[in-house]
Amino acid sequence: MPKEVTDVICPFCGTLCDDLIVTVSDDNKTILGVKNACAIGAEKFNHQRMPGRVKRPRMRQADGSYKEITYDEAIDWTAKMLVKSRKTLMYGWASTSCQAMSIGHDIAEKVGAIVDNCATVCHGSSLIAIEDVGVPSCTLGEVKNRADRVIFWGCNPAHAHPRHMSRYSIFPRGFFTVKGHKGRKIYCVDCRYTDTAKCADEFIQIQQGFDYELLDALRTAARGEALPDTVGGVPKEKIYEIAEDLKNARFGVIFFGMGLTHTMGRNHNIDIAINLTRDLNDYTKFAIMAMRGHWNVTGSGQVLGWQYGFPYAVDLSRRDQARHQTGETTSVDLLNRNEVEACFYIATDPGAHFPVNAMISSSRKPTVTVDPHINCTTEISDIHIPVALVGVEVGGCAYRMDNVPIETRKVVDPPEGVLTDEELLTKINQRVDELLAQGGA
Amino acid sequence: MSEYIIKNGRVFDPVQGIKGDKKDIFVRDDKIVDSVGSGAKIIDARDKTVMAGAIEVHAHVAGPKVNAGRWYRPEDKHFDSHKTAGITRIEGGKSIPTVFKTGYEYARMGFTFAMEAAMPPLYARHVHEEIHDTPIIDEAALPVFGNNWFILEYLKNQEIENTAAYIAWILNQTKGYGVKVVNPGGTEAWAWGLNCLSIHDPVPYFDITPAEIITGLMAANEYLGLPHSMHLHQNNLGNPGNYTTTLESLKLAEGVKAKNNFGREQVLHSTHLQFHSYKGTNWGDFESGAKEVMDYVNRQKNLTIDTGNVTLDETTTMTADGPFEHHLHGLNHLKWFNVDVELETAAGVVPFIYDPNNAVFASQWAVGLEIALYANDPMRCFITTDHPNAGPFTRYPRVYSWLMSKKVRDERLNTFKKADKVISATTLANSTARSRSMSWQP
Repeated sequence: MPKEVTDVICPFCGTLCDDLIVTVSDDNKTILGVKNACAIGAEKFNHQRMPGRVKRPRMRQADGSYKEITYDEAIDWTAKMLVKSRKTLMYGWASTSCQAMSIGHDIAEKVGAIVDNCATVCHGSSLIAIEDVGVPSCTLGEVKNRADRVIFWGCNPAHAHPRHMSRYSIFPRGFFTVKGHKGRKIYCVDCRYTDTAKCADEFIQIQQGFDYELLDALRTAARGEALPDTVGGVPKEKIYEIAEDLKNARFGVIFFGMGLTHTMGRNHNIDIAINLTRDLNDYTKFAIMAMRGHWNVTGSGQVLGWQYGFPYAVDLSRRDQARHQTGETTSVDLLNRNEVEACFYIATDPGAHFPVNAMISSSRKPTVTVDPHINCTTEISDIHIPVALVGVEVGGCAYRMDNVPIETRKVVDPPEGVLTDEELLTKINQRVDELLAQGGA
Repeated sequence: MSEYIIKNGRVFDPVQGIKGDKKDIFVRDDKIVDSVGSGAKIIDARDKTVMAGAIEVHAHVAGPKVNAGRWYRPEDKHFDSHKTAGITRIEGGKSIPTVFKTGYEYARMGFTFAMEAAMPPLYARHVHEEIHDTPIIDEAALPVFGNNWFILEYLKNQEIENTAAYIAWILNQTKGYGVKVVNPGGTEAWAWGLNCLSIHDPVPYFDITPAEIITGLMAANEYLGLPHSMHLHQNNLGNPGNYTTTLESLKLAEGVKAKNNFGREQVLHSTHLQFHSYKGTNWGDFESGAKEVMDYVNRQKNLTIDTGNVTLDETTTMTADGPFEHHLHGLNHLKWFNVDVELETAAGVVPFIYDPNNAVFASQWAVGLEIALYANDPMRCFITTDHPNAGPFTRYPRVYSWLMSKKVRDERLNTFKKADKVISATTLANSTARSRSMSWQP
């Protein structure tokens, strides 16, 4: 008899939906169906039984083909690479558990590596802004229970965080928001009419690259100061109207995404959005939140935070001190400058997201990729080590976009003999210890 | 069986009246015994102090707001952030050290335990993840209850039994160790941008007052007979004139009796009392209210307190008193971090520089010392810096020396740029007022 596992945590995006129901075969080996998940989340579970899944480590041969090797061989090769390299980039971490990260950091400290996560090409600019000006924020539950003004700025949850709107930000009825959608006013600020814009009460089409100016104008309008006739294509009357409406909110929130972090101005866009939020707290209650995308990237920032005091791009190569400097210790810059001697990628696919030049640089270095899937990065790696899917085949702690930690749930066994991230990293760590005790690789 | 001898150390044990005698301590299987076998491992403690591990009763050392302080203040790593010889992990940060540094620094000072003073139930797992990664010392955490929707609802209906049952459930779920209350009602009001500055301000929607919350939680705490008394961060923290709010809150414990079979007598622990003992009407006519507050505490045997000593450092303030941090940000305009959490709590973080040249900060330094010096019963008064709010815990040696030596204290006091103002606003320099209450000092 197939059985249903309830309250399963979705392993896809930063929303970490915790209400999935997964049907599992009698022998605990196959996922038969997924309820409540969005299309992308359901696909993460379907991968579990995908034909052609790699179940043993593979090593690239001189002719470019792959040869299956044992876990022990892969662990030995990886440990030797890490010990030999004077500076290794250990990048990724967003699809694994915090427990695995912790072991990875232990290794990184021993071998003098750089630990970076995908914030480096994502909400890194938000983190820089928060390092500069702080951030007034809240949990998603507060949004659900209190928010009556919601602004989506440069983000498109309809596609990137498909259940965000129904679980937290637009439709749900909460303790103080019994009217649900009807009790909320939804704004969408974007240069394109997105599917999120379709759900909004008001769509503000902004001229591309004028986010900073419009946010600044809203601050100006909130203080009742004079504005030019239009800002970023938005007439001043509209700006005054919005500013007034935001001041009259009971509880407002701004959600922002790559439209702010990766357009002209970058961290300065976030900086002024935070400052607008701060200003609005002089009149009412307002919060702002980054739409963190990749599942547990928030957790990586947290673990790096409590172990080293920085949220990403942590350079441990000096061995006695952790350093963090955007542009200096960030992955893309390190690769572009050819500053690392080896690459260790885990639980994220830089091959699909880094600039081409950075990946060309990476492809010329000894590279190990740890990932359950074949992806762009495994294809330029010397070794690909498959592991169990975190949140599907093994549990572990992950952090939601609002930094709420959630223990994920194992629903099926991993394929026979496939290691988890934690098991693999523990073995690599042990091998590194052995090599260091022998005086190096 | 593991045995060892701690040899040649100077042993201190206030309970047995041992004051620095040279003694050998025999240990078998983690217990002190009269003698051990000849194969015991010998630890040479020559010229060292041997004492029971010190206990930190109130510090912010693990959890979401502590970590926010860590990662949003890269500048805090500019100080003292190197790995020291003999240590296995990199140490970082000064006012908000990383978990590794937290464990090492406490251990260096002879501490073996620290209580994380505010665990938001929703973030309990985060707190425990950090506790797990903290080396050497033990840590536990107090979940916060003073703004919990269920608690507010139960207490409005005067359902003490339900309140107690709910507390028991939360303690079990979050693996918490006691009932912490931060700005009761005020933090819930902050979710709408408001606050409860007096204990009679109604909490929006919930139709209950901070006084009723404090009284009800004390009753529920005793109903359960928990190991610790209720641990209270009072309303109106950090404002001139707040000592009246403090006295009013403390009076709620009058007549309340501890109910347990292990000898705990106190029913209310009032934390970082320094921040709650101010007279005056503004920062211009700010004065110490330590004497008034401590006179009351000395009379009421069912109260315990900790000091919250200002150490005059650059530090990072952080509290589940969200509205206070917003207020503080309005005063110093440094970067403001805030997280409102559903059901219970809203934490804020703001960097803070206690400049000794500023008369108010220097007076706060004096108020903290006065609190401890006025205490007649040292067993009811704990030294804290409310780490990192009034200063980093690594400054304890300085705090101890200010408390133990009038000479050291006066040296500091007289080198303040505005020493005259500090002396007139506080009673610290007035040593005659001090002599009786200082009688317990060595």
